[in-house]
Amino acid sequence: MRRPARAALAGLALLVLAALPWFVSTYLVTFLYLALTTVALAQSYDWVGGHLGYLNLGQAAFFGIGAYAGGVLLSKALPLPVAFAAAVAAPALFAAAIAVPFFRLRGAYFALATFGLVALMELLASNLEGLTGGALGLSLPPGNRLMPAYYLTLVEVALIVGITVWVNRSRYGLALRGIQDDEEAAGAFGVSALRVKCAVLVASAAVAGLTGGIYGWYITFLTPPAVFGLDKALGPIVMAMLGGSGTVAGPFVGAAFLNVVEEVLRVKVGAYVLTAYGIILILVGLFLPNGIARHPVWRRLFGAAPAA
Amino acid sequence: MLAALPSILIGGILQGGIYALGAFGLSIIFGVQHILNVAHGDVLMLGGLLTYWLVTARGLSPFQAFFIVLPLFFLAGVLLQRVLIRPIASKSPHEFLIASILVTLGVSLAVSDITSASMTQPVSVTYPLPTLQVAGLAFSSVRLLFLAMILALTGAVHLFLQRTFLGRGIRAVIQNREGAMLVGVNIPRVSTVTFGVGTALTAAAGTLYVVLLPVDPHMGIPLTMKYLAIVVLGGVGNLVGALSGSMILGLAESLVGFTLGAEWSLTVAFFLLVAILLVRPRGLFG
Amino acid sequence: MLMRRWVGWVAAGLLAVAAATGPAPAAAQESILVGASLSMSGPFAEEVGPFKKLMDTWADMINAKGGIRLGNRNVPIKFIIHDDASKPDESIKAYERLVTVDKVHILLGPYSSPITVQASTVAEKHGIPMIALEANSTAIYTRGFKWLVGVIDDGPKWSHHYFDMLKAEGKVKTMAIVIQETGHTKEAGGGAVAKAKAVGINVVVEESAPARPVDYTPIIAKMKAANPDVVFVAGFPAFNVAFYKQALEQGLNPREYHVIHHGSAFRKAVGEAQANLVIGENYWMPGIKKGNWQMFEEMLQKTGIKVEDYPWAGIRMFGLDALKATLEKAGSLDREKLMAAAWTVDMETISGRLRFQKKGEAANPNAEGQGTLNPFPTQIQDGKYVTLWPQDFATGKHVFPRGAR
Repeated sequence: MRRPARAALAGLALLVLAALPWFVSTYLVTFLYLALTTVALAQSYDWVGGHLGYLNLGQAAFFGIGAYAGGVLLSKALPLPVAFAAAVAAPALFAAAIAVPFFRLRGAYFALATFGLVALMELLASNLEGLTGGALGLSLPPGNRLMPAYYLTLVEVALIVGITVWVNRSRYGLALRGIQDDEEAAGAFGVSALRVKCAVLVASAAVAGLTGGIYGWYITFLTPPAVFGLDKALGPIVMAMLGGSGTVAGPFVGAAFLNVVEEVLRVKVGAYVLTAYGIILILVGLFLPNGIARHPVWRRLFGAAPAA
Repeated sequence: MLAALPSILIGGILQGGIYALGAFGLSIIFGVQHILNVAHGDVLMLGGLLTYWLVTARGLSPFQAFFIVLPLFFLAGVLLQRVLIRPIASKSPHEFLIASILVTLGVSLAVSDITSASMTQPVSVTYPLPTLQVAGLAFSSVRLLFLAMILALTGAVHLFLQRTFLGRGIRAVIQNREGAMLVGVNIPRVSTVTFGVGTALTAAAGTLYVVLLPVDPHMGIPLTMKYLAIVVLGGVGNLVGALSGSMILGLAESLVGFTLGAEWSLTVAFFLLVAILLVRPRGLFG
Repeated sequence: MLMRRWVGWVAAGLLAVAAATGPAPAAAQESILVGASLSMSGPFAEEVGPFKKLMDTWADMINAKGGIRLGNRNVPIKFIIHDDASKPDESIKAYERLVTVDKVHILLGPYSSPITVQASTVAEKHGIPMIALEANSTAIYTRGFKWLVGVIDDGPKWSHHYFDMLKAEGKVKTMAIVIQETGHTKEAGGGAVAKAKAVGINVVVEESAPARPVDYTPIIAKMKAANPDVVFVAGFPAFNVAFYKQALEQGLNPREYHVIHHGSAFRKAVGEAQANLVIGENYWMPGIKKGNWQMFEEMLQKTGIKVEDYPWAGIRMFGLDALKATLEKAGSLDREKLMAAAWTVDMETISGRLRFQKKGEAANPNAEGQGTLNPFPTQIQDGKYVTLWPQDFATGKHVFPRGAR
């Protein structure tokens, strides 16, 4: 498929998603909003996990910090832009702080260390009651915010997909791929691996944080297990992997597929939804671990046109 | 309240003992194949469940159940490895990591969901033993007994790794995979056996776990996180490392519970785990 | 053209979701549609999993007698229940679907305060009444919501009947309390501490512990040193089992153990011998003959559900009573009338008199809509649950102290 055709396609998808809320039930809008949240998390995860090759299993920590940072400020009646700014800044600063020590780890060790981060954050959120309300939860000013939350997240997703496309084609994207393939060699070519890795982690954290801030604002009540729980922690990551970690379309495709499948299963079948979900994951892991977007059929439909 | 300190320390060591058994299995599995086995906690849960069933429906004692669980789960582990892990083992490390996470997470989700459909409540096994009173200190004789069993098992696993051909093959692969291949170690077989042994040890840990604590279908992944952290903290593929990591965590929990208050014990423990990993990426004894 | 195929795929995907989530088939005649989400999978399934059966059985029994009296006609009642997988996000989707796709007339709440807090926002947004069930966290009812009432009383009042009993008996002077770090147990535990002090009991140890099991030696050591009359454990069953076992292993032997959730999950896990004479709370146990108790026993018998296995069944029962009363008082399915009718409910239920508190009645001045039902202290005596207090609900006597082990 030619580049202009793909761009037009993406534009069409965006238009459809923008227009839908006016035509469908609020139930479907809620479903789409929550699905878009997972897309944002999956895409931001994949910058580090797919393009850089460092599996940051702790992406939900950034999401949660953003949700709480924004939430705490909102609960103190500070204006929304300030709360959102905090939702972006707090996890970004946290990411900047932990980047250097964490990036000394590689492969499975990096994955493990980051996996522990989410558990740690959940515990901290529970312990620091004075700040976060602890296990009793944090109450935000109530309001019906489905539409604004939906559109904010849609814009956010459009932006980050655009950024992914642009970076992928730029020299920066080359640097990322170089680091993933061989970090030392990339260094020999003048790529400051550490600086690039830190920058990407901070960006990833900022996006996750903003998504979290919007989520908290929409849901109006935060508790540690809801925000740092396993479906927020592992769901988006699995979606990125299933769709094709490291590709541009991967996270979106994986998220679309899994969200739709899970919802249809839950509504139509009702029982054993997670079992079916688990079996799908096993099958994908065995037969399609590179993801849907790398499968020859997909490539033929949407992949780059062959050189003339 | 310094008088309570000995009790606290003993409590921490006993708790560490409980962690150790669950950590061994994971340590050798991770060491040999770098599998981030998300379903580890679920294996422990299943071992506990089977024990519960054997004790309540068949009238066995937990110790008899222990010796049934071990071989059964060895076979299950071997089967699991051959069906789900071996097919993806030949991929690049990055792809393998992704594939193994997907597969083991899938297993974990399916197992919790299916188990949850048939289990209506958390279960536990009672094995009441009188409280031990030594030198004015009272502590759990059940836990002490388990610690003794775990140490005995540690000895057995240690002998296995040191003295048997297969055991030495496992150690060789953990230390240097390419080198082991060069000297003719059968990597696929080592991987399969390791997974079997690891699964057996983990399920056996579940047998002891269900006597002390309640077992429920959704405890798997949080437990996995904890055990993975212990294993990496102590140093992968290393029995001494797994044991030390477990003891450190157990003692940290108890001491923090004693000084800062119990609600901080897990938080500080996790913080410690993450911090140590950053300072010594290979773990304390890796 | 490739473009058309793409558009086709996207449209197909959306259509699949829309079609799959279409409305439940329309009823053949007029019927009252009641919507609720229920945790039929996930961690909460162990608390409320089989309750769909319970609710459907109630509907069948009501419909067998002609249905609910609405104004001058009898109308059958039907429940539409979706699984929320124990997750707040799923519950929101479920309630949105119930209101906008299934077009229900009135809502019942989900299980647990954290999920109800979110689910109730859907009711508020669409302006449709919700009767909350197993949800007693103060935070739910202090948001000024107009479309919400809940049948059980404020979380912190959980053990109040127990402390009233202790005060009347006058035998307990000191108490040690351990609280699990979850919303519900913190409220119940915090409320216990405050009420203990109010009735003159000295709280000698007050400790919090993480939600997941850890080594409790430090807490148990403190409690042993303080030698309290009563050890009070505010936790969910799994936590209670873990703590209780460790306490017994280490020889903590007070004159009484109070474990706020001591249903059969707890009792079987620690063993009958060890569980004997432990006190906890329940909304209803066999032997209490108040309200619609006969219908309740029939429902339990038909579904095979035992209250000791699923202690929250009692709440479902008086929640259903409140639902029926609301519908009958409103006499119509108009939402405004239903909500107004709910506020006028004042009836005798299996756990006592139920009314929804107006603003200012509860301890928190901003709270409104909470019910007036609190659980009663029940003691395990030889495998049976004996209700102890107040006198007109009691089915036996309080055995105290519990004797040496």
